[in-house]
Amino acid sequence: MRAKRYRDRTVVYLVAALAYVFVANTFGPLGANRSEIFPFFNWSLFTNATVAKRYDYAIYIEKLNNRPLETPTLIYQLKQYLKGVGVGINLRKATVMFATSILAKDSEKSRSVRQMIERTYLGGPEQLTYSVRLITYEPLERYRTGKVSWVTSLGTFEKGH
Amino acid sequence: MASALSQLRRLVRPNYAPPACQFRCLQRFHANSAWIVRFFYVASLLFSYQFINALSHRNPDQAYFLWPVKWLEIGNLKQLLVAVPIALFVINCATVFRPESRTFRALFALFALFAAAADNSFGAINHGWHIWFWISLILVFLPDRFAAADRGRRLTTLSIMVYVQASILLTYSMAGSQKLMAGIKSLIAGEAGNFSVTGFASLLADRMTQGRGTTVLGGFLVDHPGLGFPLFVFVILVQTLSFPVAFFPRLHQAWGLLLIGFHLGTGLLMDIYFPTHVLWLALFLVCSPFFVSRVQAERSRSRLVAE
Repeated sequence: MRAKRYRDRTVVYLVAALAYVFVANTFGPLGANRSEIFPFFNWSLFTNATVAKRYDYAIYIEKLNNRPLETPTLIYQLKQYLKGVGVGINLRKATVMFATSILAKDSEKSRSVRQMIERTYLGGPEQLTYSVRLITYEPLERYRTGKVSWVTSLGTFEKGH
Repeated sequence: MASALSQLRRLVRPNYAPPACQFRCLQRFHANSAWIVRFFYVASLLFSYQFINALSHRNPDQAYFLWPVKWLEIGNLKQLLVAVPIALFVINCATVFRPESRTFRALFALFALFAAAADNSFGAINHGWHIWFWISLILVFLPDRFAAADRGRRLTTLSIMVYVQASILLTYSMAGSQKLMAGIKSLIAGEAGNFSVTGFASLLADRMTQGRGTTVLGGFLVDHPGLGFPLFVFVILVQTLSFPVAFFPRLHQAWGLLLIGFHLGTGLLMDIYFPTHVLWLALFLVCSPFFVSRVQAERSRSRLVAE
């Protein structure tokens, strides 16, 4: 009797574990256009080591204090002007969240994420114009030469407006 | 060859308590488990305390609150953000004092969820707290007064410990199996991927251009892809095979150490650190309550013979 109870409990656990895997894989961040539901996660971290082209979202700065830059510049290259751009991965994650909310036309989410990005990462210059872009690159080439190409712009924004 | 096979068979035999020390081993497993649960809450106290520091320096106006703490957006409740980790800390003190109370453990799991969600509400979901929360949730199912010595409580406690171990290892299997599938997919498509020599170097290069810059060893392996390739394949195998290890106690220590080694590698190569995971691997696998060394088994056997 008792043995059966423990066996049943183990079956319940295994079903719960399978349910977790299902929920995490259904709502987890597989692909750039899906956002995860906390605290479920599919643990897809650096899953695909493709050598070919990769796609990502990034913020490009277009104008600094109302002066247009020669060419729109990737945010990481302007660390010296922007207080919040440190060395963490969080800015990239926030940019992906912002881009996916724009693509999903979720205006409430994109407004609050944008506000959070501006307050957290774009401190420093009074006026700033930036765009969110889909970029493409080959990882090894980007690492060695910094070469990144942008595919399309999802929108241009002015800080604070 | 035959000897090697029999050694391997002995290693992976799913034998929680060798026959020679069935009763004594169960007693020992239970006592170990009780200490491990207690230590889990003691270690959590450190994190609860750090949460107070971390969240008190956050500006609640910059948050995009995740669903477990969406209620903080009601009225002006978000100004009370720091109250969440303070409450967690107080409840955590209660669980350290009385880990046997299911009410305290349930409250702890709830506030661990709140605190982890609040910490991840600033534009990026990081994954250091996920396992911590899930462990705390599973521990809620321990019986009240789980350290008591009756057989029912003892066996329930042990089965919950197995579920905690399996849940920790499941996350690695999920990560590994997806890498394995992606690698096979690339092989079938005839593309360079996880199982090509430059695959891992490309992965490292990608990571290092995402804001962090060159890591301690990452640059070296990008320049020498042939060295990183076998390491990556080994990691994929170790991760993928993790879940069943929960049911083979003789492998707990070795697998715990392998996975801790993996986290050391991700730190040095990719600047990805999971200190909480290292702690849980050390606590639940390296210090596995079910591990019986050959020496211990021999000692129990000879004691039985002597009696």
